[in-house]
Amino acid sequence: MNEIIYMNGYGSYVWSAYGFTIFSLILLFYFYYQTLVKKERKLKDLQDKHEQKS
Amino acid sequence: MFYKLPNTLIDTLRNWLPVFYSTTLVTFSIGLYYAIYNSPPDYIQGDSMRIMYVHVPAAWLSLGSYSILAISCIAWFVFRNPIFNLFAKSIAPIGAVFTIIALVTGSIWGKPTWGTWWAWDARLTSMLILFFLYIAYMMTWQVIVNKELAAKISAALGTIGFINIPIIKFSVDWWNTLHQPATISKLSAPSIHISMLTPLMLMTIAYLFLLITLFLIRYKTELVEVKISRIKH
Repeated sequence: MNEIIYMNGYGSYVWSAYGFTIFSLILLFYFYYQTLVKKERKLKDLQDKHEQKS
Repeated sequence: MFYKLPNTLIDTLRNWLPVFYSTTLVTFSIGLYYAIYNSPPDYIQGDSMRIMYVHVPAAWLSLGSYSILAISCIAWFVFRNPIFNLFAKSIAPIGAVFTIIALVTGSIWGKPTWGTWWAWDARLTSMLILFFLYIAYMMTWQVIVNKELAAKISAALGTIGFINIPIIKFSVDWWNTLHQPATISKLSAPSIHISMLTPLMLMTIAYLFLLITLFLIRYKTELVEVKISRIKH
């Protein structure tokens, strides 16, 4: 386990690179997914209002 | 054609997205297992070489994403179909994030390998220019209110920026750079052992699935946005 964490002295470099990558990708996915959910909700509201009017 | 397409596509995307979510998660898990645990360290660079497994696929796909963006912009000029703008708008933020991942992980890898975080050499500088091209493309849509004008300017910008792709690709051959030459080439056998090539390919496949997943989410969002504006006006 220690071997994987320290990686012969390169652990801080390797883990910060992996950490940055995974954090960026999760953040991007979360942001995209939330935007989609919000827009779909907005569309549904507008469609409901549109139907009520007609 | 364009006005009928979104409804069908939204339904299709709704069915396919869960498949892409799970495939991305599975391929990333396998790729990371190989990259961190089931691959040997390099005989010169040691374990710092493991950064390659997150750095190289990000760099490849940042170039691939820009190529798709530029081809979409050219297609918009030829066919004037707004669907090509939706393609380009959907892929731009993903490409920008892949580029920043390639730049940051490359910088972290550079410190133990070259002794510096950054050097203004051809490969690094052209990658930084690629990032600015993505930002400029996205800013065009945000800043210009007239959408027809924004479409023209962004398509022109996306097309002109295509020049940077071969510059990035061949920068390590054309100039003396700190960056190593390509290890994977179409024309010759890869100069990398199979034990390292396997995790690299697995991570590339994982990144590719993520790119497709994110693109589909973004594209679906753009289609929903089109429907919203159609109802409003």
